[in-house]
Amino acid sequence: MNRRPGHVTSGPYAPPVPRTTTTVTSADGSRLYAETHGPDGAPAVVLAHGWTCSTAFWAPVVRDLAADHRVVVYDQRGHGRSPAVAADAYTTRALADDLVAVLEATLTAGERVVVGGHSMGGMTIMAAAERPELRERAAAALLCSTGSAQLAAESRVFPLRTPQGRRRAHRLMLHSRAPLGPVSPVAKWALRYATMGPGASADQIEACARIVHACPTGVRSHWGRMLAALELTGSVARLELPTAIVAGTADRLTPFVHARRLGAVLPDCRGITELPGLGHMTPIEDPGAVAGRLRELVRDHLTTRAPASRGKRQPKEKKSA
Amino acid sequence: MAERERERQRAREHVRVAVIGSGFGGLGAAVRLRREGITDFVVLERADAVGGTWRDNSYPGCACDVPSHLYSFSFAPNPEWPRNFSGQAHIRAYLERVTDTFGLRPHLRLRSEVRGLRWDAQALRWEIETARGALTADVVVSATGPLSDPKLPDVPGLDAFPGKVFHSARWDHDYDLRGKRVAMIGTGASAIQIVPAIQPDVGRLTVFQRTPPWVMPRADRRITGVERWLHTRIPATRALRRQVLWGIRELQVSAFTKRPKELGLIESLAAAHMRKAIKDPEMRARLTPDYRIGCKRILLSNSWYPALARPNVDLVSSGLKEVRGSTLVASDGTETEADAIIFGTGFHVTDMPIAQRVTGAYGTTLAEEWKDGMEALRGATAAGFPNFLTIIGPNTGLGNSSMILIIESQLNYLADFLRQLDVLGGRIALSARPEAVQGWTRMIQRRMERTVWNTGGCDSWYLDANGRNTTAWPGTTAEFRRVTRQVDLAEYEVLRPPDPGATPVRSVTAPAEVTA
Repeated sequence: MNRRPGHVTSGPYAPPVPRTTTTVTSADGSRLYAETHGPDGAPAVVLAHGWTCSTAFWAPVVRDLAADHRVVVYDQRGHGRSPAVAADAYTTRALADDLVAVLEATLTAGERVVVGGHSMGGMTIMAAAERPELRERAAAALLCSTGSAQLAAESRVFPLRTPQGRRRAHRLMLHSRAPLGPVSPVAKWALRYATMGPGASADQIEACARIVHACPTGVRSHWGRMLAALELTGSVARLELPTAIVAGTADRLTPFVHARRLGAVLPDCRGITELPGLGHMTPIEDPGAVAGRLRELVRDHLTTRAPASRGKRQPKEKKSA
Repeated sequence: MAERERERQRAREHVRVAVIGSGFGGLGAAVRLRREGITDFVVLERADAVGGTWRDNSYPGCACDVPSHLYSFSFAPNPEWPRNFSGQAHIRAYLERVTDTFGLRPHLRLRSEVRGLRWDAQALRWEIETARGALTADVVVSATGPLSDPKLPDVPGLDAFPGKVFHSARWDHDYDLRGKRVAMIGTGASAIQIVPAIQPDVGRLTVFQRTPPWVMPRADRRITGVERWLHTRIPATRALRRQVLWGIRELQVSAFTKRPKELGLIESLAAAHMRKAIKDPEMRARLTPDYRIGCKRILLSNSWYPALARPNVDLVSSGLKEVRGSTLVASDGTETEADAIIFGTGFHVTDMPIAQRVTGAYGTTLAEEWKDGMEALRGATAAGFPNFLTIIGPNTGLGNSSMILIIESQLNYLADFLRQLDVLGGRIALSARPEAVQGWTRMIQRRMERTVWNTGGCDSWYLDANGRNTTAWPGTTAEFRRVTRQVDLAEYEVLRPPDPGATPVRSVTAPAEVTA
């Protein structure tokens, strides 16, 4: 079979060449592919991608950050170069296991980090909220276009009127094993409609389509089942580190209401960045905004470390627009 | 001393949920809690029996004007309703039966009037003082109801009245009305049931009417044995009956809320209904309202007008101004001698009395927060009152359908509220964001502008002292159900216990950020 690579190979959305690659072994023995970009000794950022994506999804953000950050990206189990696992191993617990395994394997002893997650990658951070490894390592977090519960009922890919109708329709979409076929104009239109804002450029759509179409249908469906039944609100309530939220206002997959709910529940929310007109694929639709927010978190919480504030809840001041 | 204080604290009972009231709202909440798997709750009731307004209102002729098959819980159907519009005794018995069937007796605390509620921001729970001791609760469900505290007008000289005085909801059954000269104050829903019921017994009956009501024919009849048999044997027939009753009322809603002009048609029916019984044109003129039907509650009766036409009944088209000895003086100067005064003057609806006893997170009472009008997010939660939900809260009332539908929707909201608390876990409370409450109220008031309650040209118990409608729901029951299905966490603030080590000063934090 003549398969094109699961990403674009030129332009700003093509994945840069990593400095090193690592194979990480997770708690249940699963293997994960991880790569490191940027200079050694620079402040570290670890990024987790979303459903049906891969390390390539972070390409434009990595390009932006790698000049002065050490950026670690990894393939969630079943995606990209991380092998698929048994059907019952696609769980939120596995997401958390994998993240802490990557942190332990790629960071030096005692090194702290800013973690960022998009969509299911954000849920990964939520799921790991109570893991001691995360509490010890993570100085701050960025949750990008994500939600903690009620995904199927809140999605507007199928804009049905009642929550039950939407829940049913989106559950079918999440559970589906139907192959997406080649990256055709129709497929790209559908992907743009479901996941990106009206202003997405042709290369952005092409970049996303290549990545999403490369995801094996079985993996997509297994993770989709997990997403349809997701309930991580309680973990969000215990994610006790400075956390920023970024979301697009035209997101159909995880509508903006999720961002507001996360903002309400997080113990230490550092603001919700609202990206007008953008869809679900914010790191590709506006890599500058996402990288910029990560930079700020690094500046405020990683390089100028304030140990006194650790572990103590800070009174929060936040607004959502 | 401190030791004893701690001892007392330890001794104080703690429950997950405290429900105040045991009417339809409170009992419904109790059933719903049990169905959600929550058994750690109490139902606090000031009286010595369940039943709420259907226990208190035992006046002669008391009956519901929503058909019983709709005015009952969907989860506790009763195929045996004796009449279309069942009487108070049957409805009260139904509530007693619900209490037994769903095993609610162990949760009941009778004669436990709530004297005060205070939010404990340290422990994130409510401190509750009742007539029979104190307790604490994570969540309080206030199901005190809008029709629970009788409203008596301030009439000069009433104290010196030598005869008997009581309110329709506090009927004195020991007092014999036979042959007495009785004054009935008010012509609302209670009065129009009382007057025909006592008219044959009393010597003379004088009805004081400030504003005439619109009265429609009451399609009441006995539900036949065949129907009851069918409803018992084939439950679908009962369900269908309920659906039809519900559907008809849903279709009427838009006339109330959007196109009050359409109600003109109904007015002609009501006028014809009056013409049948009242032959005197002068009397008819006094009984014809000058406002749009629906603006005040539409009343149903076949016996009201005939009773007024009886020779021993007088109608005074004016309110009661003062009492001089045993003489009642109306605002228009009419003087009437009476042995007994019955007040059918309604209830404290827009100034929920429990509100004075609830002290929230700001240290103010709910009544103080609501002094410019009641408001609560989705009819349930007020800003500054964490983990406090009202059943039949602000803007949940209906003009034409069964309040049980609203109660059950609010119970869905309550169930999801408790589920969210569970999901969040730990010592946590949810407090409605002021912006969310204000946004909700703005939406309600905007929609209220075209409704018959606001445009019909009357004053009613839907409107508060400032003329704002804080009681009615300007939509269908289906819509209310839809908007109360889920608790949206974005509308709430998650409260956590204050850090014991933290300084009380709001220290420097990262600035709020909104990028657009």
